[in-house]
Amino acid sequence: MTHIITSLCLRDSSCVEVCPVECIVPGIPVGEWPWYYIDPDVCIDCGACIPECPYEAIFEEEEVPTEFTAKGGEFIARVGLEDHYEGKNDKGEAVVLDCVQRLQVGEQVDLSPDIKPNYDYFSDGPGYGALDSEEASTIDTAVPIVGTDTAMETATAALEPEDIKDEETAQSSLETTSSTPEDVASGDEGPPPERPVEQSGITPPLFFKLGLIRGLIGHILGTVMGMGLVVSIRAMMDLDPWAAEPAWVIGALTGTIGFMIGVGALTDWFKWVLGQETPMRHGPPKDTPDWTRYLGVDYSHKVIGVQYTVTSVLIMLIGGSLAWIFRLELLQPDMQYISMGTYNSIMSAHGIIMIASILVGVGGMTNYLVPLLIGASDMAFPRLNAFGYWINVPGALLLVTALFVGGWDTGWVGYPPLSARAPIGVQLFFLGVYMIGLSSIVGSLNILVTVARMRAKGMTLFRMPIFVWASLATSIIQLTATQFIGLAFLMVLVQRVLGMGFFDPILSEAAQAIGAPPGDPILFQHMFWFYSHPAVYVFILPGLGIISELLPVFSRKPLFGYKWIALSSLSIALLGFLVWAHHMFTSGMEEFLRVPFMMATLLVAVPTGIKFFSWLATLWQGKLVFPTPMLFALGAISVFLIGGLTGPPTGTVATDLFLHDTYWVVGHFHATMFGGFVFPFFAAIYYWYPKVTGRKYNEALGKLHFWLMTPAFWVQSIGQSAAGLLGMRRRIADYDPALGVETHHLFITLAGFAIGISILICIFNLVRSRKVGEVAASNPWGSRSPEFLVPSPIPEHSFAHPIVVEGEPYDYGLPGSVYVTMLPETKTE
Amino acid sequence: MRSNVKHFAIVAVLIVVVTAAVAVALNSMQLLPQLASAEGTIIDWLFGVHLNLIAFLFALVMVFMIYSIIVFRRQPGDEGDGRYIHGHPTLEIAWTIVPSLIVAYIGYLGVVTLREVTAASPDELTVEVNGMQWSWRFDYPEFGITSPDLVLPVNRPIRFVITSSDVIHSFWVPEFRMKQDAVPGAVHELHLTPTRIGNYRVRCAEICGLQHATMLADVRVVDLGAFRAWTVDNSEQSSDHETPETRGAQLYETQGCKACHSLDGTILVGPSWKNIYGSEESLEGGDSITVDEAYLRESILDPNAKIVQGFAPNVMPPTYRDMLSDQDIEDIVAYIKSLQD
Repeated sequence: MTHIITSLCLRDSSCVEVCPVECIVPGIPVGEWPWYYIDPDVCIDCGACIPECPYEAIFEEEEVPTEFTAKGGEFIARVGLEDHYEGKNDKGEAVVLDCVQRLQVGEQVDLSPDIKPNYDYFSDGPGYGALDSEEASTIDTAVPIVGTDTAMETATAALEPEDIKDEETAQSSLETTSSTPEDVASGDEGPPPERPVEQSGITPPLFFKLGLIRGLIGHILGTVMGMGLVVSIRAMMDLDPWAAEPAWVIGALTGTIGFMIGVGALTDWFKWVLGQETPMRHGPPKDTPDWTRYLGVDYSHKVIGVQYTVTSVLIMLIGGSLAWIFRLELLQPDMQYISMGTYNSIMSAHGIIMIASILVGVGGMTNYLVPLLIGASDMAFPRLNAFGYWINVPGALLLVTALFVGGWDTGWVGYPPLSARAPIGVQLFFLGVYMIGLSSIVGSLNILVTVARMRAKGMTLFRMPIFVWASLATSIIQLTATQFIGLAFLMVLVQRVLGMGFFDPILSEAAQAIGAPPGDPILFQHMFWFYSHPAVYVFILPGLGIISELLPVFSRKPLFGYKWIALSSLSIALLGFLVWAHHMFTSGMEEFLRVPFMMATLLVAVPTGIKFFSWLATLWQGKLVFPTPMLFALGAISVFLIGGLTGPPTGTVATDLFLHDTYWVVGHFHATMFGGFVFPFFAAIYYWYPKVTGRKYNEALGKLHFWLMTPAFWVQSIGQSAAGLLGMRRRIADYDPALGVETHHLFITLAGFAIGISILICIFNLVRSRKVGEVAASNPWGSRSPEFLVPSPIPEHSFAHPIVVEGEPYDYGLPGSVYVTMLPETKTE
Repeated sequence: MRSNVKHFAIVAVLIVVVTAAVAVALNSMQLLPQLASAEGTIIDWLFGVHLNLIAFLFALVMVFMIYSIIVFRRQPGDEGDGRYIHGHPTLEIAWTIVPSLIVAYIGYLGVVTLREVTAASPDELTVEVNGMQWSWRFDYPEFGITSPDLVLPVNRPIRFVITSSDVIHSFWVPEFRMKQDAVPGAVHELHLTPTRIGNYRVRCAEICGLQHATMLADVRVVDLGAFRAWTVDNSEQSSDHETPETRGAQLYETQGCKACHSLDGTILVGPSWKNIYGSEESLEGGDSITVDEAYLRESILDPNAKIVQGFAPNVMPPTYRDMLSDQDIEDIVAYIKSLQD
């Protein structure tokens, strides 16, 4: 491990800031444990803290000195000494020690007894436990805080605090202690440094400081208030006070707002009204450990990216568990374990929850990667970014709650008139989708602005990493189409609650009396699919971008036809807007419309084909290696191929009249989603895991995940397609044994369970490797991409210096070529 | 370059072999249900074209990919990069143009087949199809017959006139291949010629709520003689036995009642009709009621008015007030009254 000589430590906090594994802790109480301590069990020996210490108290294993020769004026600290020291730490907080001795020029100190106290702190002393104690918070809040936040921000924004410190340390360590960040902060244009110190002596436990917990409490309170509003209005109107549907609808709306206020994603305006400042925050909130960043509002795109990704996996687990339930039911004809109503609800929820998971996963990939890939320090609108993430959480909660409020039996499409008379759960389903759609819209706006405005110097559009093109195409769709599903669902919601018959073909007597025209249920389908078809390109384009991003790295060859791939993403996005009605070939829409929609649909095969052929040409004559991310990229191609090949028969109208609403479509859709999203998503997780966590995942478990999931998915996909051809309809709770599809269902169910188990293995691997994985180098894959220039895990401000684009992104195999360099280093690398 | 030619030659041979193998395998399997309509022949032919295309594209991509994985894997000890090939404009244009042409051809086939399968024939027999939660009713206006089963003469073109009385359903007999959604408030047509005598089933293909899975109806394609006999039998039946109870029984079959109400005491989604008349039932909310004519009438017209304990509200469609005449309701009530031990 890295050693700290306690007698040299004067409680500067900069080592804590840089430690990637959070193994450095300040001693508590100060009188008994006056220094900082490095936990030997957690320390990964990365050495990041060594240059940070202004007192040069931290050393590599081999370089631990036994003696210290003073230049004069330094302090050493040992329990029992009696000099008094007052200084400030890196955060500008006061440091007071009463156990020091000032040294004279040339004075020599034996340091050999000063390593052991570090170990004693964790074996005999309070260790980490002290951090959570009440004393810790009282000590820190008792310290007069002057300009801490702004000073710290400026210091980090100045980008070169280390250099300053190094210089000063060389002169005199004492001077360094007096050279507080306030000096650095002079000329700061930020708001006046002021922070209300908590007045009450009672600090809430950490649990209640977590944004998520506050959000959930806010959600419950909001829901109750909304329901109360409905009840009281009805009572005042002398109606039966309890009407379940309006109560739940209003409750869901106010609950969502309550969540957003509770979590802190909707409070800045209120704070401004009260005259409070809302400074940008980097790093975890004060007085809380680093992990709490992930459970509250945080503005770093890397934190938000991880929040999105973890949420996506959690939602995927819920959706997958629902699939397990109904796959068991479908194992045999007749109903065995659940009722038809339960089946319909679970099947509908599986569909929309998985789609939510995919949308959130897409948000994870784009938020984490896009700023890094274009050399930006963060997204264009960090607060909007946090809002965009957090609105997903109440959205997902509503989708799950819907299952317990009667469920709904419409599938994820929610066609009226069925959805207009489905159980109440359908309303929460509509609102949940509405919230997640809101996230899509603000998230895509953020991506578009970030890509347009924040690219590094020299990064022209055609020099961006290919994933950025995919994100761009996806964001265009999300920004312009999502409103349609929101509106369509909102209209059904209003039709149910307020009796507006938008889609109701059979008029009520009251409507007939005033001569109202009947509603049109087919209009809903047009609006729904105008988003929901392009939406599938939202799901797959980032995934296909990941495949294009990874293949060159693991083939050690340039990406074949970069511009063609980039433009094929855009053309898929644009063609996607012209094909929606192919979901409605049997709906009875105008006859003549079927031909142009068929043509446009088939045309999607052309840009998709360009991607396939370019990938194959990238592999051709490469020098292929097969770590887990590459396996998943290749698996994705094979699975997406099934999805692609099952597409054209549904594209031509005549065959679609047979295939529509059968398991053939179920197979086609699952294959495109797995090939276009799930496989690349896991490829991306494995590929960037070392950059995110600083550690490597377990390769053997990663490969086990792949070799379990890929064959299983093939079996599932082929089984679904074949069952569909034999007449197995979509969305049915029970099937006719006469169809002869029992064997198919057996295989689909077994394969589905294998896929689920493989994903559990993956999660186990990722969670476990976070603690015990091998420490990762900064560029484990030999990639040329900018994020691999910086250490793993990526520091708070990603790039210590601005990067400059010098060449093409994928020139593997071209000797001497450079893609990006980080200023001010020389270009000789 | 020489080695490149060799690689391409091997890959080309493999693609031909794999294409042939996959195509033969796919074509030799009985992938689709028994074919029983004239239009289905065209659809199956187009599907065959798709299958051959699938075989070729599958072989093209998988052979290239697996060949690269095997042949171009990094040799142990080799730390170098692959060949620097960043693109090939001619190739890229080629693989944009050629697929576009294939797409255009498939599109052309799509239009031609669409025209053929939607064409009307002269001398069609009209069958009105009405989907309702969760059963089918078939009306033969030529014969004045209403039937819960679909009986069709073989080789006679049929014009199905399809609608729904509540939510969207989809009329589909897999053996006939084509489906058409039944949309409330709209009428759509489907033209089919059954070509094979046998028993099939109408299977609702659009999710329509609770019992969507079991929204089936029997289909019998029979020869012309049998069909004539059936029309005569049914026409007689409807005129001969003119009692309220038999008319009610007929309505029970054709108006969707049987999907939710049994006649033998079994509890389905709704209460069984057996012995229900005159019984005492306790309601959701605590009251109790005697099932009399007024209650039955109200429950048909306004199903949510009084829900008996143990049953869910909002399950029975509220559309019967539009579908049934007063006479119909009286007949149904009479039929229910007759279902006593």
